[in-house]
Amino acid sequence: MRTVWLSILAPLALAALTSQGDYSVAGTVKNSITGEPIKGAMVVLIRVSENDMGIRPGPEPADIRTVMAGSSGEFSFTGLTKGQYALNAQKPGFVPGQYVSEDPETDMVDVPSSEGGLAIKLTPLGAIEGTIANQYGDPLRNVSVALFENNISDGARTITSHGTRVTNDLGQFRFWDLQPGKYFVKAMNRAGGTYTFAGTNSIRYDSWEGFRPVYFGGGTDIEAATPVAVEAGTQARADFKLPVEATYKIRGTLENYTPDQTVTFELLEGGDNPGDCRVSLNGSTGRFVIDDVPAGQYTLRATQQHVSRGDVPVTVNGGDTNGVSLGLAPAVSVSGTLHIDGPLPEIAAPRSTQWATPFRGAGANPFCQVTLQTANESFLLMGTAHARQAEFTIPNVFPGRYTVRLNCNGGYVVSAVSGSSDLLAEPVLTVPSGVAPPPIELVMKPGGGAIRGKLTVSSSSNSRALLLVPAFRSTGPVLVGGMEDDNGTLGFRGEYLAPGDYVAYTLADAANFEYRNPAVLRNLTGGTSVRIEDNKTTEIALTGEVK
Amino acid sequence: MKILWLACALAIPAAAQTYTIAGVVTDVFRAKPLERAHVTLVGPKSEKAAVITGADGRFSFEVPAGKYTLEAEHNGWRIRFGNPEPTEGFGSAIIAGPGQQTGRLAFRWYAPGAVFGRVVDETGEPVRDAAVQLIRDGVTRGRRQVIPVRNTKTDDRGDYRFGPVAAGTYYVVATGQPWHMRGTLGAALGATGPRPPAPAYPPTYYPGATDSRDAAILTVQSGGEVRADIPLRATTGATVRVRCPGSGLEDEACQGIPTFSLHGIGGVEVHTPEDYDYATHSFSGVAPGRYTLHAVAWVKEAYKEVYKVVDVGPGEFTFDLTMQPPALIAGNVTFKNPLPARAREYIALANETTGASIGGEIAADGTFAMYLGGARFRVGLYGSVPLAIAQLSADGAPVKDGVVDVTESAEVHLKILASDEMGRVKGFAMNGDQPAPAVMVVLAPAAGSGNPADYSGYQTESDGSFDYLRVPVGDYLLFAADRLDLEFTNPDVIRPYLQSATPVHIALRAIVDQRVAVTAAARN
Repeated sequence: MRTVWLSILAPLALAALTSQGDYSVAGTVKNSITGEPIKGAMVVLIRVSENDMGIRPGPEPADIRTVMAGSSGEFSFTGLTKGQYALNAQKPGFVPGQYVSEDPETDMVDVPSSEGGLAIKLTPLGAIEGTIANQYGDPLRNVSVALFENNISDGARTITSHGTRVTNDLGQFRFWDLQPGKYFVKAMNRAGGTYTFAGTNSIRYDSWEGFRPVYFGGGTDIEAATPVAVEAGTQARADFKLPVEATYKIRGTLENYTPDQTVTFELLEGGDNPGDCRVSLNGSTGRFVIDDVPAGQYTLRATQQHVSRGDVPVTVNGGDTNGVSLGLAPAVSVSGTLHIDGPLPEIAAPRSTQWATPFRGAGANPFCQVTLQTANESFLLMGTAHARQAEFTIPNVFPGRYTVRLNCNGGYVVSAVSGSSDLLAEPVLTVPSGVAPPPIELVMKPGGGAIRGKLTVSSSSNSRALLLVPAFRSTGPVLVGGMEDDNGTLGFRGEYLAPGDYVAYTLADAANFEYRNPAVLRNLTGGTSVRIEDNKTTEIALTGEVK
Repeated sequence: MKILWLACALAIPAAAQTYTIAGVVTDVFRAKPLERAHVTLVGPKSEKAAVITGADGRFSFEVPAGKYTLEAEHNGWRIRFGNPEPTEGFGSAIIAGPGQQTGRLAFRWYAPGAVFGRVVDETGEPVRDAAVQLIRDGVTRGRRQVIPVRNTKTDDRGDYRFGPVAAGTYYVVATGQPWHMRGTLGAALGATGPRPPAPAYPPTYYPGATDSRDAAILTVQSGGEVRADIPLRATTGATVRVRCPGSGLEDEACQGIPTFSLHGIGGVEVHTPEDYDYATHSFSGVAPGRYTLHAVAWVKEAYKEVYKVVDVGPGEFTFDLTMQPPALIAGNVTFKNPLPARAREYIALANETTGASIGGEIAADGTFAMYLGGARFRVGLYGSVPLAIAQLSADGAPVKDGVVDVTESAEVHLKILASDEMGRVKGFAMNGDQPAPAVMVVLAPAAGSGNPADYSGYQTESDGSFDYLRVPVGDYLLFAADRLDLEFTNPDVIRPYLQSATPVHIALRAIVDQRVAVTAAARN
């Protein structure tokens, strides 16, 4: 089994390496794509030892040595004692990497058997750059450009933001240090944010033309956009030519506004497709002016920190829109209780104080993590309830429709309701404006069944997992991780499963599989039916993989 | 030319006589008409009209007689008629009316320039995340000032760019730390043995000067780009431990992280080290130089702060920032004449180095009090009634030319005599028998003064007129110069003009009507 030892560069104490020996280690840091040496990388050598339980504790400061590679990428460490060392390197613009030996069993540097000629290969990061111009070819400066990734996280499609840039006077923008992958670039209209002023100190923008927020390749939806592919060490381009059109102002007043507080405004075209705008807000009266708005139908959203939010539909049609009243409603707290149906296991005393961890094992203290997720926003709201501290509260929840996800351990959920809504039948919670929804009542049975499965490895994959799709009302599919054993077979083990009938699939690439999408699940074939029973371990033999 | 919407359209009564404000916007840099310029005209009552120019750069408005502001914007760069750059308050208004030549205006539009470059280390590798600051050395409102105008950070290629910037003269300074010294990486390096002195990049001015006296000035022209690459050379940095006795914390720790301001060109702050160790209250990798250290604390609900100027060389330093109450600047304003009942007046203290201004309200009995860190402050008044400072004196701090020099924890008492006694001077600047638009008319105190607030300048309108609505009563010298960037608050600069200046006496509520001949710029 390969052990991954990425550098732990915590601000450890500044002690000297005390053990002095006669051996040395030397090598070169290289670009993994071009093979060229990388000058000036930071190389870290960590002495790895095992304690008598065969477990590797974290390195002591005395076990860490660091040097800067020379102009030809060369490095060396001298005065080493015999032993096993982890070796890694980093440099801005490259993915931090470790020495990979030819021995498939280990990536450790064995001193003194390997001493010289060690190569640490670093993968260069990529970049995306481009320009934004109007239909006349004039560069557009001060335009906000956002970068997204549309990938799968925890079985669900997620849009991840990689931040924004603002174009310079030549209309140029650049994102760097990008991992290889497919990205989506969106021009968001003019950058500005909210300028809050006091008295008469208003800011004056020249707002006379602008454009609709659009993804590279066209479209206001990420699904319709053209991805920009970034390969290791390459620069991809995303040049926009955008038709500018006349823009107008939206003037209005915030109701229930707490003076002098920061407010973020979002303009959602058609209720979706957020873009940037420049806003000046009178910090005493709550009167605002939004600039750079092309004609269209919008939802204007104002958010006062985590405190309150309001939405109002606004139509802009060939002129300024005045007199908009935007009421801010306070965020609410979503609360709930975890009820335990059955006896709790006793908390076992930790066997060794040295290895005592804050988590005494889920079996001793079953818990549920409740996550609320909106369709458009990538951030999550979370609350956790433990069997021994059964109530949870998720503060600062704004009105909207949320998907409720329950991640429970130490048992299984038999019922989850909020008022009359059955969250196991449809995991959706609707939060009305300014009113807390009925509390979420979770009922959990400690324990549950377990599964053990075995798959003969046919190909290499580092995100292979077993997917259990319940045939009954539940908190959703369960993913069970696997581990390669010495015989070349893959073993899976999962516990705290709700008893019932499941279909089991082996996923070749679970990290990129949308198993929380019911439509994807419906198309799955090649599964094995399994029945899980309470307090029993079901054993299955798996034959094939779902690619 | 395309007529845009009329935002508060210029209301023209059907029978009213109208006049034409028209002309061509010319991009001076490209020497051709400016296409797709957004030309706006703002009237005396803030009424507004706008057009977009075509390929011929033409614009045209029909308006009633009056005084109008004319501006042209292209790609976010807005220029007022008669002004080479987007400075608020200057430019020439357009006077429309009988006999006015406003139908064929030549609107000279000055494209912005840019300053860009790459910051590299001694091996030629780009330095990413280096802080780069653009410092302008120029004349604004008759005063030469050296002030930071923009800052940015380098990207992964070590590149930075300032754009758009107004034509003028600038310095560029870069500072940073080697990437492997930042944050926890630096600590890991030190783990190999006794921690070596952390290297630092001293603030380096283009073209590579660590001494600000060797900095090169960059001249940016309209539409021009100037490349300024800056090589950084790591030097042995200092480790600076800062203690804050009186902060109320254990180990005399400071509340929050003290700030470092390195003294640079014009006293401009250029650098704050990034590597702060919370355990030892020390900064590592501090470039040698002279700094002002600053810390603040709330001790038993009382606000305290300290500024301290220190010299840092290579090695280890410990500085004590003894927490003190801030300086108290209090005083009272005597009004020469009683103010209207609803008047609200404020005192403004403008930091002479940074330009930052702090205001405090003057109570009904004329008193005021403010707590501030020590600095050189220029005293001013603002509010609902225009007031001039007729006399200024202080106990507890020296005063010269309107600037009070406040030391740490000082108690300063200011005595201000405020006068609302004003007159008005208006007239025309003349080139021979022709009115001279867009020249600088200057009103200087006849007795001379080292206080820039005693001088005022007026850029003449399209008809050559000027109009100082409120001038404190007294004796003045009036002249007109044919350069807009004249440093007219500097007695040495205007001395040649004063020989032929016109003496003017301003009496209370009197209106002086005066023609003044334009003096050619003194060539030196």
